[in-house]
Order: sequence, then structure tokens, then C-alpha cells
Amino acid sequence: MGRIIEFLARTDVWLGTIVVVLVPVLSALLFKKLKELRRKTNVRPKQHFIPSNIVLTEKLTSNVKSIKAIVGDSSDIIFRQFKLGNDNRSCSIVHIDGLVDAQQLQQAVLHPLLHGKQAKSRLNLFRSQSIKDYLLNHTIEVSDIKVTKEIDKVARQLLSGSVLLLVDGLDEVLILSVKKWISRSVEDPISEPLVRGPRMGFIENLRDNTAILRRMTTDPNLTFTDFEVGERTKKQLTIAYIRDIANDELLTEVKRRIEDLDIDHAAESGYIEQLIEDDYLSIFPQVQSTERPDRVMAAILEGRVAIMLDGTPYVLIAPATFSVMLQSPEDYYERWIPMSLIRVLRYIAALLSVFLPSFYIAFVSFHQGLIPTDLALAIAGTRVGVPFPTIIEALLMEVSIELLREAGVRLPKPVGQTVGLVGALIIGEAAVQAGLVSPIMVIVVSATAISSFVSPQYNAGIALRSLRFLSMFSAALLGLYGISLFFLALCIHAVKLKSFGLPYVTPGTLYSKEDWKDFFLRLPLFTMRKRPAEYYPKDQVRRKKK
Amino acid sequence: MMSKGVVRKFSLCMVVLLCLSGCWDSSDIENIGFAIGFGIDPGDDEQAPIQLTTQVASTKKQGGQAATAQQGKLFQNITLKGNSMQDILRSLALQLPYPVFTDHLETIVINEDTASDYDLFILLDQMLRDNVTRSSPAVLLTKQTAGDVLDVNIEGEITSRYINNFFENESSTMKILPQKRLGEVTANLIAGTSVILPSVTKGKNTVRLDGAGVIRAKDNKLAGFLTDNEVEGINWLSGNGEGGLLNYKDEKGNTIIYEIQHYKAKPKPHYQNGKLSFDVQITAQGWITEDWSLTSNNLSENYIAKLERLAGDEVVKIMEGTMEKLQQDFKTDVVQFYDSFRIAYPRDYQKMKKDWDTYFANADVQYDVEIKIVNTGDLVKEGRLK
Amino acid sequence: MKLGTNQITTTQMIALLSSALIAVGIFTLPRNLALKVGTPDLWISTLIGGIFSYITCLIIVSLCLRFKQLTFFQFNKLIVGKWIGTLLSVGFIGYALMIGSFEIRSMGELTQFYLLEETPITVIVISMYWVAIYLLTSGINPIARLIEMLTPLTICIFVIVILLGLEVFELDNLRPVLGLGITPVLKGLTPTFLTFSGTEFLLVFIAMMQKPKEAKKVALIGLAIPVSIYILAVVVITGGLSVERMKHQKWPTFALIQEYEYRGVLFERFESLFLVVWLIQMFLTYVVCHYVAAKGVATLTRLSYKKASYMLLAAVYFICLIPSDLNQLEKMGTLIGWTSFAFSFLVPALLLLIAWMRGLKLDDEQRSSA
Repeated sequence: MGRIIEFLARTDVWLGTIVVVLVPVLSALLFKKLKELRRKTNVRPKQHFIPSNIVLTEKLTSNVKSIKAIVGDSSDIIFRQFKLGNDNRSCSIVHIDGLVDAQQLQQAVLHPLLHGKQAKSRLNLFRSQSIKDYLLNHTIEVSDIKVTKEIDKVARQLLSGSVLLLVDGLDEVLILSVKKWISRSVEDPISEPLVRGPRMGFIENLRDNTAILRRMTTDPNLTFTDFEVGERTKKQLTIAYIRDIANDELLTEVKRRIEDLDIDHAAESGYIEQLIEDDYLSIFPQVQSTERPDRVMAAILEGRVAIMLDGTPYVLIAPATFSVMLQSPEDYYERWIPMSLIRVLRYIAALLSVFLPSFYIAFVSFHQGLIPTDLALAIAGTRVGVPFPTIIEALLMEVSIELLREAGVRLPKPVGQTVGLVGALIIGEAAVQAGLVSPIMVIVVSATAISSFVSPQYNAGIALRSLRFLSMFSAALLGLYGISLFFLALCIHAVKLKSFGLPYVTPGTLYSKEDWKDFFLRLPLFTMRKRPAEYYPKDQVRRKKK
Repeated sequence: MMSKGVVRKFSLCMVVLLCLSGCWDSSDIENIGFAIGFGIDPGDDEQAPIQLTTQVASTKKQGGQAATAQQGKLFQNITLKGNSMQDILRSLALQLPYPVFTDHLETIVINEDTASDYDLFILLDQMLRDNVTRSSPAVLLTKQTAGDVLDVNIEGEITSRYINNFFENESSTMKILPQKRLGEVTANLIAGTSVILPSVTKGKNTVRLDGAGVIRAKDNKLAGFLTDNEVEGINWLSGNGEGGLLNYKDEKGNTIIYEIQHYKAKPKPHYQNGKLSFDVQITAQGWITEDWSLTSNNLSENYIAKLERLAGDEVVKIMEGTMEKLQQDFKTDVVQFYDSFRIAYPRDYQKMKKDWDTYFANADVQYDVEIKIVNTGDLVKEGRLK
Repeated sequence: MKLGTNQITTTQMIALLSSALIAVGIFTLPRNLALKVGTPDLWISTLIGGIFSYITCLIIVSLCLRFKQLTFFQFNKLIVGKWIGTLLSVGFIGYALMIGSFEIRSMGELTQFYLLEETPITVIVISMYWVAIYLLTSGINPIARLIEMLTPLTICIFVIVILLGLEVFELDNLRPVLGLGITPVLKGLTPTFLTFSGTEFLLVFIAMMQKPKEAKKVALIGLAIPVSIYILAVVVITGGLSVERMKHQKWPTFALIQEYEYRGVLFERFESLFLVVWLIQMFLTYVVCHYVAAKGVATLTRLSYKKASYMLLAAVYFICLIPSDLNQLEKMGTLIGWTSFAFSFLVPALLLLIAWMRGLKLDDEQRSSA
């Protein structure tokens, strides 16, 4: 009894109790605040980039004036007035120089209009309905024509490259699509090269991209749904999915998030990714991004949804799991035994790139007894004279490797190579000879760097690289125990994380036979008779025969 | 804003915590001395009855490889006296500028006199209690001063590791006892059975394994030493060896070498009316690797059978010699006959456990040796008369 | 899409049960058994203990299945009335807290002994608690997922590390079987049964199962996995160290791992690997205990589950510092074992008896009408 009272009187126990509760409570509050930051809706006044009070009239001059008022006095907008060939009615063509196929415009629009002959039809051209009919049905040789009265749509269409045809006496505008602009040719994707597989990557033009996808299948269920994102810039965004495979809940969730997002201008699909992902505080990418059409096709056939944005070759795929980040399309193109081994190798590389330096630190400065005697003596021998503790040494090397990598990426290729060379000299040779770092540390750091480049998804690689530093700190603080705690914390974070409702570590939890066939190993294709169960596809069977 | 204040306070707390906490256990590997071997000798005076030689691998000198080559010494021996092991180990701090860790201990050499004066359990107590010492270091005895044995400088080797590596030769000769690791010694001590420990001697510039010492169960003290040949007998009796050679002569005095590939020893205990006896069954398989006789025909079955019989006789002779010494001189069971008895008569063994060595010393032992020659090598000698 | 339900799948339940059972026992059981039994028949005791635990599990399962989707904290009031029910609940919460803090404290002691000699134990313990609360606050689903993800890994590594001990295995150490008859084996039942504490958590978790019908399967597999690991460990340790030595080694499992050495492999010594895996396993066990306690508090009071788990953090920290040394910790372990006996056998058996006599049963139809 006396002991208990004595125990109760110990201040350190009470202090510890306070610390043990207070720190998590405070940090939980902090994180809650941080999470709310994102949800907080900024009330912003409804912006009108196009004055809505303007209406189209039947008078050509006023219409042209209105359009001029909207688009301003830009030098690249061409207004061309002319008279219709058969009845001298005033017309005007408005388009943006450079976005229009001039030859087609001349042949398919201007020529028939200017040289039109009355004889063919018996229409009374002085009525506005019949002039519209005449133009649409008899004269203009363009397939994609829209007719609209809404002035803001007219303006948007003009600015996105369509040709406007305004006719005197008609309060509507004919929008002719004779777009043509400079576009890159389809090339091998630079960020995801493969040894075997289609040499084809997405380009910046959305329509070309959807066409590429369309070319891969004649399945009528392949569906593209369009959205406009960016309050000001109104970029076109398309989600692609297979109607009878993609799960409805997933689809509505994706649509809801895209409709909810509020942004001025989406420059790249990365913007979209960050705005629709589940947890912005997580280090892991929760949406997959790729510029390979074959990858997108495979993904939507598994029941996932692709999000394509105009102006970027990077297509997003949702949902994404950690295992997806370590898969490459090539896994399926080559035979299964070597590719399974390579996939296992990738998992090992991912582990190494996070934990190798921290294990080195833990063993060298905490648990020297746990490594073989020869190795311990060898390491001790090489570290003699190194002025820094292991953690500082490791940080020094890791940071310089990251610096080198960053410098090499941003520089033009020839200079980049020089940087690599100089870096290798400095780090590999000079630092060791000067006794600043031990040669074994150089080996550890370079092995780590190499394994972090193995990841087939660039953004997953970055995530792992940054995790490495945290892991090193925990190792420096508590040795092997620290690493275990870090590993646990990492697992917990991954387990809590979800991507569009799908747990991030999926085949690792919620086991299902179908998913495990394509997890650590890539089993032969004939075994994957069903689509992965993790995405809950509507049509589960991939092939009927065993 | 409230969250900002919280953030600031929280990060301040974390920084302070990190700085305060530091890394309690962190110590860099080059600033540590690894004790690779221990040599235990008697001290000369009452106050400090134990003299401990600690062999520390000298990492400091390995830095420049040139230095190593010149000095040719990879270790440093420090001999200190004291009245307890831990005390001496800590006194090393007065002599060495870095802490000594025993994680990598490989060999413990104990001097004859210490072993006969002290209970072995007491000598090893510190290492068994210690949280970092593993149970793998080999325990050896020596008739010389243990410190001197460890001091032998062999080019490019740390003596303790050198000694430990001897045991990898186990399969080439029957004269090496299997390595007795600290863990196994402990098992014996705890079970109250006798232990046999290999013995090491130093030559001018070498060390060699030489026979073995017997620690009796009664008081865990040294009972005496066995020679190389008697060790061979121990290996035959216990069945723990990995193989080796059997050197014997045929009736004409020609040397014959039989190489044992594997063998088994199976003592069968019989216990009736307080009389204990053992039938030791030995079966071995091997090759003839050397045969000096010129007249033999090694393809003839008769000849092989003769060689097998002779080999069996030789083995019996070796075992009888060893057994006599064990039963008469030392009165200790170091060939693990107790194990077979325990399995066969578990209840009786419970009673006899305490005085097992006495029972063993009075036991009758019968031998039944069956040697098989499966191969006589590549050479065929026709049986021709001179 | 069945994403984001508040229920756990059968596989998760199996993983949860087996990780609740594999805990400190893997370190303490071999010695306690060796002390009680004294003959090499330790494994028989373990096996019988396992079978007995399975019987208690069946009692618990049939009790829980009578009250579908109700946890122990809810249905005990229905059986024995409000006051006794509350008392039982409070006792169960206290027991869960005690076992949780016991695991963490043992983990801290071992870590300090083998890995971090100088680090204060409070630091070791507190850091573990912080990691745990990060998981705990998010409810049962992430917990179940984490356990499902890590348990197979830890079990595999356990088995590998123990099997590597076959290098020093000697069959003679396991013979003779039943040399001194059956009595010593029966003596070994107490420590075995005390080690298998953890089955009583089924009282809470069966209510959360997606398919409660499979609860019996869960009990069988979830118990078979840890029992076979314990048997494997006991067999290999007995074979490698001999019974005599097991009695004298504070942590025989660790002694076995220290005993073998594979030269030339990168890891010459496997205790580091074993310790890390064991740490993770202890963490999982602790999380299960804390979850049960917090769930209980949330059911009994008006506190939300999250607040309850934060508050209990103080309690577990406090309890885990009460034993001042290893001996007291061991005493605490024995105390926990007996409490566990009460909650895994006596209480469910009594409750089942009363419920059966009073004809209490709560089916889905009744619930909807009630």
C-alpha cells in the first residue's frame, strides 16, 4: 500500500502522463485544423468574364461590335466582312489567326459563300430562317457546325479556335469547326519508356488523346464524359471509362469531385490530381498519372476511371493503390516468370530506398553487436578519421545526391551530364579521400539512390525518397526500435489512407484471390480470369475459359 | 489565429524534445573496442585472484592499410587483475580511451590452475548474465598462461578468431573435439553433468589444439587433461565428431588409413538391480585412403572384411583406453551416456542424476563396432607375392 | 461497393484473434512451462492448453451469437441486469487496460535490455503509445486492416526464425515422451492457459463481424495459428536448449536465437530481426486491448470513442509504470492470466447458462420490433 502511495506521489509519472496524452491530443487538433483548411469554402463573388448583358441582334454590325467588345482589340483576331455570292447580304467571319485551318476555311467556307448560286434552291433568302437553312444545308462544306444564340458560348468557341459566321438578319451565330493548330506528333513517352510495348504517348491535345484511346478499341461502351474546369480558363476535361465495367459509385464519386473543384486555371493534370485527392497531407500519391495510352486502356478495362485534361499529356487514373505504383505495363507484355521476379525486385527496391541508410545508421551507431564481426571491423576500419557521426555523414551524402539529381534533371542534357560527372568525382572520390565520409557510406547511399530510381511511377519514387529522411532520423534517435516505430507509423498511415474509397494498401488487406494474382507476383495471364476485385467492377469476368 | 499559436508551440516543444532527448545509446562504431577474446588466469595475490586478458580488435590501426602491414598486429591485449570479471572489464576504461563491447566475443581461454581452483559456473557467470554477449564464443582450456596464448601474434590474424576457426577442421580429424560454445557449456553446467573442453597450447609462433580438459560435475572444477589420442576415443564414444581418420596396422604391420565419412555411436543402457551397464554400438562408413601393404588385393571381399575387422578392433582399443581413463582417473561422464539413460529410464535417472558420475564410473561397458569400407580408392593392387 | 463499412471481414477477424494471442507469451511461456513440467513433454501441455482454449472460445461464440451485433458491454446488461452488467463491463475494461499496459511494459523492458540500454524506458514506452494512438483514433477498420496486413508477415518471420533454430536441434532433448507419466503435463496446463489469454476479446469483436456465422471458423483458425506457433517454438526450444536450460534462462526463446549463428550471411545473428518483428506483434496486441477498452468506455459513458481512447492513454501509461521491477511485472502477468481465466471461461460460461435458462435470445426480427 505504501508503495502505491509512493508511486502516486512521483512527479515524473504524472508529468509523463500529461505528456503522453497532451502531445497526441494537440497534434490531433492541429491536423484537424489543417484538414479543415482545405474544406473551408472561400466565398468568392460569381465572376463574369463575359458580360452577359449583351444579346445578339439581327443586325450584323451590332453583333460584330458586341464580339469586339467581348474579345477586345486583340491583334490575332481576324474579322472578315463580305457579301454573300447570290444576294449581296452582308456576312462576317470571325476567327483567330493560327487556330484555324486556313486552307479548309477558304475552300469549304469562303468559296461556296462567295460563289453561291441561287438556282439550286427555291428558298426565299430574305427570311432569316431560310438563310440559316440555306447556309447549313446547301452551302457550307464543314461537318461540325453548331448554331447558338448564347453570347458567352460564342465567345468561348471563338477563343478555342472555331470560326464564327455572322449573317446579317440572323440573330444566331454559326460556329464552324475548322480547327487546326500546331500539335506535337505522337512520340515515345519520355517519362515512361519501355523496352517492349507501343511507342506511343499522349500529347497535349485532348481530342487527339481521346482519339488514341478510341483507336485501341471498338467497344461501344468506352465512354467519354466532358467537363469544363477552370473558372476563367474553362479547360476541357474528359473522363474516360468503360460503361459496363466501371463501378457506378466510383464514377459518381469521381464526377462529384470534379464538379466540386474550384480553380481559376488548371495548367496541368497535377492541379486536378491535388484538388481531387483524398488526403492532401499524405506523402503518397493517391492518383496515378501516366502518359501511356496502353496503361490507361488497361486501367479503364479494370474498372478504373481515367481523367484527361486538355493541354497536358499526363492522364490521371483513379483510384490508385500502392501496389499500382510499383507496376509497369511491361509486366504484362513480357513472360510471367521474369516479370514476377522483376516485380519482387521492385518491392525490395522500394524497401531498400526507404530503409537502407537507416539500417546502416542503426547498426553502425547503435547495434554494433548485431552485425557479423568481420563486417563490424571492416566498417570500423573505414570510419576511422571520419569527423562526423553516422547520421550527419549519411545526411550529407543523401542531400548531395539529391542535389545532384535535381541539378541533372533541370539542366540541358550536355550540361546535366557534366554535373553528374563532377558530382560522382566529388562524392565518390574526393570526399572519401579527404576522409569526410567513409567508402561504405558511399556504397550505401548510391545503392539507395539506385533503388529509388527503380520505381516505375516517378511520383511514387519521390515519395519514397522523402520518406527515407524521416526514417534516417528515427534510426538516429532510437536505433532499430526507432526504425520499427517508423515502419509501424508508415503502415498505419498507409492503412488509414484511401483513394476514392479504396484502401490504399488494398491487396495487402481485404484479401481477395483475384488481386493477389497480380500483387507481388504477376501470375500467368490465363489465371487472371477475372478483373481485380478491388475496384468492384460491374463486369467481373475477363475471359470465360479457364 | 489559434492554429498558428498551436503550431508554434507544438513545433517548439518537438524541437526542444528532440534536442533534449539526443540519442542515448548512439555511439559510433569506430569509437568502440570490440573484445574478441578473453583469457582467464589466476592472479597472484588475495585481493585480485583473477587476471583477465582482454583481446581487443584494434580498429584504430586499420585506417591506413600501410600501417597494418607494417605492424602486422590486428589486436591489442590488455591484462588486468581484479576480483570479478565485470570489475576488470570496467577497469579497462582506465587504460583504453574507448569503451569495450563484448558483443563480438569469440573465444574464452581458461588457464588450468584457474579452472581447478574455481567453479566454472562462477567464471562464466558474467558472460551469461550480460545482455550483449552471445552464447556462441568457444570455451577452451590451456595448460599455459591464457594471456600468453592470446599473445601469440600470427600474421594477419586475431589470435582468438584463429583459435575459433580451428573447429572448422572438425571433419578432417578425429582428434579435434567439437567446438564447445558458451551456450553448450552452460547447458551442461545447469544440467549438472560433466563437461569436456578442448585445450589449446601455444608454440613458438603458433597455437594448436592439444587434447582436452575434463570438468567434473561434482564441483565444476578441472579434473584433468586428455591427450589427442584419448580425444579420439571421446569422439568415437560420444558420436559427436564429424569424421576423420583411423590409423591402424594390419597383422603384418603395414599402416592402413581409414577415412571415416560418417559414423554413429549408440550407447544402450541396461539397468537391473542397481547394476548399470552399457552396450556401445558403433557403426561407421568410410574409405580406405592409404594402404601400405603391397600384397593386398583390395578387390577381394575377404581382404576388405579383414580390414574392417581390424579397424573395428582398433576402435575398440581406442575407446577402451579412453573409457578406462574416464572411469578410473576422472570418474566423469563426458561422453553423454546419461542422455541415453535418461531416455530409457526417465524415472531412475531422476534419482541418480546427482551421483551420475559415480554410477558411470562403475558401469560395465561392452563395445560392438561395425566398420564398413565402401570404397578403396582409385588404385587397384593385384594380390602378388614377392 | 462495400467500401468503408464499419465491419470486419472474416480474414481480418482471424488475423486479429491470432495476433491478440501471440504476445509476451512467446518469451515467457517456454520458461514457465519448463519450471512447471520439468520433462520434455512441454509441447503436449501446450497442445492440451490450446484445445481447452478452443472450448472456451466455443462458449464465447455461442454466447455472442445469441445476441447478434451486440458487444459484451451491451448484452451483459440484458442477461444479468444493469448493475452487475456494468460491474462486469468495468472489470473487463480494467482487464483490457491491464493486459495492454503489461504488453507494452514487457516490450519496453526487453527493448531496453537487448537494444537500447541507456534509453529511459519511459521514452521507449511513450513513443510506442504515440504511434498506437495515431492508429487507434481512426476506429476499427484501419486497425483490422493493419493487423491483417502485418500479421501474416510477422507470423512468417517468427516461423522462419524459429525454424532456423533447427541448426542446434537435438531430438534426444525431446525424448522420452511421457517418461514421467501424465502428471507433469497436467501441471503445465496453468501457464499454458494463462498464456492463451486474449480469446475473451472475441466477446467484443464477434459483434462487428460481417458474417457472424463464421465465428466458429474464426475461433478454430484464429486459435490454431498461434497454438501451432507456440508448439513449434516450444518444440524447437526444448530440442535446442534442453529442458534443464530452459528453466535457467530468463528468456529461452531469445537464448535459442542467440544459440545459432549462420556464418557468412549478411545477418549472422537473427535476434535483431526477431526483436523487430516481435515489437510489431506486441504493438498489434496492445492496439487490440486498447481498442476494446475504449470501446467499452464509449459504450458505458457518453464519451465518444475518440475521446475515450485519448483518455485511456493516460491510464495505460500509468498502469504500465506501476510494476517497479521485472519480478513485479511477472506477478502482474500471473494476475492477468487468472483474470483472463475468469473472463474467457467463467464469465461467459455463467452468462451463457443464465441466458439459456432465461431463454434470452436476440434475433434480427426481435431487434427490429424492439
